[in-house]
Amino acid sequence: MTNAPARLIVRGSARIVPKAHRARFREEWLGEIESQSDERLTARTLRHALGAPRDAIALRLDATRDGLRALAAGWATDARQTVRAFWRQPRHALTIVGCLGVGLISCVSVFSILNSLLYGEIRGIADRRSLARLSISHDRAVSTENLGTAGSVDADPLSVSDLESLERDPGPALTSLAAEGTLRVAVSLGSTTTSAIASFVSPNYFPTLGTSADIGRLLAPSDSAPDAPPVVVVGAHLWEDRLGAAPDLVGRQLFVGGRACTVVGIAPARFFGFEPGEPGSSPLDHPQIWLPLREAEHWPSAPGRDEPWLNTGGRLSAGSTIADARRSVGAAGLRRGRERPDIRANAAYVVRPHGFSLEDAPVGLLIGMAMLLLVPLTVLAVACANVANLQLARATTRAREIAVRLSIGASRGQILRLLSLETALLAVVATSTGWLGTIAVIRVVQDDFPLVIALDHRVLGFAIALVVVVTVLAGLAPAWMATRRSAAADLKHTVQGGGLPHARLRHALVIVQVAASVVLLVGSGLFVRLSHAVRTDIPPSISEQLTVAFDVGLLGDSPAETQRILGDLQARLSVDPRVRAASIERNLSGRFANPGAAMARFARVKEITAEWPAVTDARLVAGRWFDVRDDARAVVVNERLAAIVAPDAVAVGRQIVVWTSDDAAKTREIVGVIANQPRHVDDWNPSPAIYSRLGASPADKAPEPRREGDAAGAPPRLADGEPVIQQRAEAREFDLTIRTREPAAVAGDLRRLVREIDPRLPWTGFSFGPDLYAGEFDSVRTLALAVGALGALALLLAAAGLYAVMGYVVSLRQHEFGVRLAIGASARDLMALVGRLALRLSAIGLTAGVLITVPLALVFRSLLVGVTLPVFDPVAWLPVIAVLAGVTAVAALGPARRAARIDPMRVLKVE
Amino acid sequence: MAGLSYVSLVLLQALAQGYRFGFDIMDATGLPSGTVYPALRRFEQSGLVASSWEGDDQARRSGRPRRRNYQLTRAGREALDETTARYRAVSRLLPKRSRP
Repeated sequence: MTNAPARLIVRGSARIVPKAHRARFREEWLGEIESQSDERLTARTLRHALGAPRDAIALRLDATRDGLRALAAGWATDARQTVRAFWRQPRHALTIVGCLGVGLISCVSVFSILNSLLYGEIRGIADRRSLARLSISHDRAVSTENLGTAGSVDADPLSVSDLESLERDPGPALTSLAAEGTLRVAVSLGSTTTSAIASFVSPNYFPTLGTSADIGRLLAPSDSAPDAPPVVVVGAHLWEDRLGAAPDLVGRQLFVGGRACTVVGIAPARFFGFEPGEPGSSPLDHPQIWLPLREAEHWPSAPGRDEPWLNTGGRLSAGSTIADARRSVGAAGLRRGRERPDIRANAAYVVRPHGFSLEDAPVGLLIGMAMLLLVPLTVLAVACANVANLQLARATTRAREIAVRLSIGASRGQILRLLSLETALLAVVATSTGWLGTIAVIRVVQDDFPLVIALDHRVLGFAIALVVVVTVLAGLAPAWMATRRSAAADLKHTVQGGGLPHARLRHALVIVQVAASVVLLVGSGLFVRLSHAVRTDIPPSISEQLTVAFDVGLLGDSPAETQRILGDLQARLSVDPRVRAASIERNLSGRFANPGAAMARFARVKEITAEWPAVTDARLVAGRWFDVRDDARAVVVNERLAAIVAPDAVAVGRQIVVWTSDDAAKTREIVGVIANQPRHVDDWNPSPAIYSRLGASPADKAPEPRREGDAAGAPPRLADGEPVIQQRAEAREFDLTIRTREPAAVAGDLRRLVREIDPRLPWTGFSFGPDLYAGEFDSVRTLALAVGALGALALLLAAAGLYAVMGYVVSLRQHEFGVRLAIGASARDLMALVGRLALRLSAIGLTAGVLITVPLALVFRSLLVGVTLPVFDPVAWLPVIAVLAGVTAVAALGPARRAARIDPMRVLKVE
Repeated sequence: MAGLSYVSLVLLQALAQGYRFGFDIMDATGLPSGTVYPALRRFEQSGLVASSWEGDDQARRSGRPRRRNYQLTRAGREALDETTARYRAVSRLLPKRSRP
C-alpha cells in the first residue's frame, strides 16, 4: 500500500491552514513523510500524518488570534481618526446627533409624561396602584359582578350615609376607606383673611392615603371623635403664599369659616388630596385646608347626609386586586339597598382602579391616546429616516475613500472596524444627548406637574435600541456593500458619476419624512381650527357673560343683611349703561321625583332672579316664567327633566317633589319648560335642572307638613337627615351673572363697586362665559400647539433630509451636469432640474400625507361630541402646503445653485 | 522564557542533542506528531528555535519535497538550562516511588 492516504491527510489538513502558511505546511509535512518511507504505508507513517490536522488547527488558531490582536491594536488609531474626522467636519455628525437627540427627547418625554398622568404616583399618596376609587351606582342593570366595563357605568360620588354604611363592613379586599368632600371657605389668621378650598375628610383619610405631614401631624381618627376639639391641617401652599409662612402656625388658632380650629400640621407641598391637581394650575385652586368630615355637619352650604359629594377611595388589602374588591363590596351594596330602599334600592358600589385602567377606559379615549402617542413616535421615525438618509448619502460619497483604503492594503475587517467605530460613536453621543435632554425636559415640566414624572425606562430602552439599530444599519450596511464592490470601480466611479447608489431608498426616506410632517402639521392646524370654531360658535348669551361668585355666608351675616348686599349690588349694576342685565343665582344640588315614585333622581337646582332669562337667553318651550305673584311653589324645569317626569305627556302643570341640600321635601308645580342649557361645549346631554325664584319669603320655604300619603308611596323625605337640616344655616353662596358687551371692563369696575358696598365681601374670582363654556377645549388648543411644535420639528428634520439628498444628487451628477452645460444647457435649466426633483419628492410626500391625514381626521371627528372637526378646512391645509413649498424651495436652492456653478471644462477634464 | 511545560523541555532537549527534523524528534521523544509540530512552531515564534529548509538538491536527490530543519537558538539553550534546573528541583521534591 502506498503513502497516498498519508499524503491525503496532509493535503486535506493544509486546507485549514491560513493561505500564507499553506504551501510551506504542505511541503514540510510531505517532506517528512516521504523521507521516512519508501512509498510503502507503514503504521508509523500513518501515525505521523495524523498529527497534521492538529498542527493545521493550531496554525489556524494562531493566525486568528494574531488577526484579532492586530485588529484590536488598530482601535485606538481608528478612534483618533474618527474623532479627528468629526472635529474637522462637524456638520454631518452634529446633524445626526441633533436629529436623533430631538427624536429621542420628544418621544421619551411625551411617553414619560403621559405614563405618569395615567399611572404616576401622586404626591403625598403612597402606592397609587393599591388604591381603588369607589362610587355608587343606582342603575338596576349594574351589578357588582359585571363591572368589567365600569367605564360606561353612570355612577355618583358617595354620600356621608353611603360612606358610613360601607365603612361598617367594606369586605375583605379593602383594608380602609378615605373620603373627601370639598367646599370653599374663608380662612382668617390674625388680621389676614383669605379664601381656600377645604377638604372635609373621613377619619381614616390620611392613614389610608399614606400621607405624612411636612410639619406637625395630619388628622388622625381620634380627631373625628364627637368630643374632639376642632383641628385643621393647612396645605403648604396656603401656608406659604397666603398665611405669610408663619413659623409658629402649628398650634395656633385658625378661623375657618368663622369657626376657631387649632392647626395641627402642614400638609406636604403639591398634595391636594385624592385627585392630582391639573397640570399647570395654581396650587391654591385645589384643597389647602383639611378638616374632619364630622365638621361638615355644621357647615353652611355643605351637602346633606344623603347627597353625593364625597370622593372616596379604598386601600386594597395585600394581594387583593380590583376584581377582588368588586366582589368584596357586592354585599355592602346589597346591604345599602336594604338600609335605604327609598333612595338606594338598586345601589351597587362601583370599584375602579385609582390610576388608568385599560379595561375601564372608553374606546374613544384609547383611540385618542393612541393617536396622541403616534405624534412623538412619528418625530422619532422622521429623525431615524433622516439619519438613515444622511448616512446613506455619506456612504455614497465615501465609497472612493474606502476604495483608496482597500487599495493600499486595508482589510475588509479594518474598514468595517473604522465604520463601526464611527457609527458607535455617533450612536453613543446621540443617545446620551437624548437621555440628558429628556431628563432636562422632565425636570422643567416637573415643577408644574401634579404627578411624579419618572423617566419611562421601557420607552427610553426602546427608543435607544431603535436609534442604535438605525444608526448601525444605516452606517454599516452601505459600508459593507462598499467593501464588497470593486475598489477600482469605486475609484473611477465617484469622479465620473453615473448611477446613484441607494437613490430609491433615499428618495423614499425623504417622502416618508415629508408625509409625516404634513400629518403632524395639518393635525395641529385642524386642532387649532377646532378650538377656534368652539370659541366662535359660542352663543352671544355666553360670550357676553361675566360670572362672579360670592360667599356671603362666610361673613356670618343674617339673611336680611345678605338680601341687602345682593340687592345693592344688583341695583348699582342695573344703572350701568354697559350692563344689559344682571341676575343673581344660587346653585344647589337636589333630587326630584314624581309624587309617589319609588326612586328620586338627582338634579341641578337653581334659584334665580327675574333677570336670569334676559342674561342667559333661556328659551321657553312650554308654559310661562314665574312672576312676582308666584310663590316658591312654582318652578320651571328644563326639557331633560320634563321628559323624565312626563315622558309622553305635557309637563306643565304637573307636580314634582324636590329635595335640596338645605331644604326638606317640597312639592312643586311645573309652570314652564325651557330648552336644555348646555354648560359646556360638549355638554350634549345636560343634566335635569329645576329653576325656582330666588328671594321667595322665608315663609314660603318652610317645610311642608307631612301628609299621610307620603309615608305610603311618595318618595321619602330625608328622615334621618331632618334634624341636621334644621341646624344648618342657609347656604349663602351666590353667583352674580352679568350680561355685557364689555365683560373685561365691567369686571374691572366691579371690584370697586363691591368695595363700596361691603369691603369684607369675599368673592372667589371672575369667570368669563367663554372660558366656562369652552373650558376643556382650551386644552385642545394647548395640545394642538404641542402637536404643531412637534410637526414643525419634523418638517425641519425633513428639510434637512431633503437638503442632504439634493446636495448629494448634485455632487454625484456633476459629470452629467458638466456635459449638459457643455452641449448647451443653461445654468437656469440645471437649477430647474434640481428644483423639479425636490418638488417631485415633496409633492409625493404631500400626497402621502394627505392620504394618511384625512382618514385619521375623519376617525377623530367621529369621536368628538358636540363639535365638528373641520377636516377639509382650507385654513388648516393651505398654510401647511405653503410652508412645505417654501421649505422645499429653501432646501433645494443651495444644491441647485451649486449645480448651476459647475464649470464644464473642469468636470470634463477629469475624464 | 519561564513556564515551559515538561513536554517542551523534552523537545528542547531532543533538539539540543542534535535531532533536527520532526520525524527524528518524534522518534527520539516518543511524542506524537500532532504535539511535536505545533510545539516547534510555537518555539520558533517565541525565538527559542530557528528553522531552515534543506537544500533543493538534496530533496531532489531523495525524490521528495524539502524538509524543515530545526535548531536551538541561544535563547532556546538558556530556556532549556533554566527549565532543566527547575524540573530537576521538582523531581527532587517528589517522593521516590517504590515499584510494587
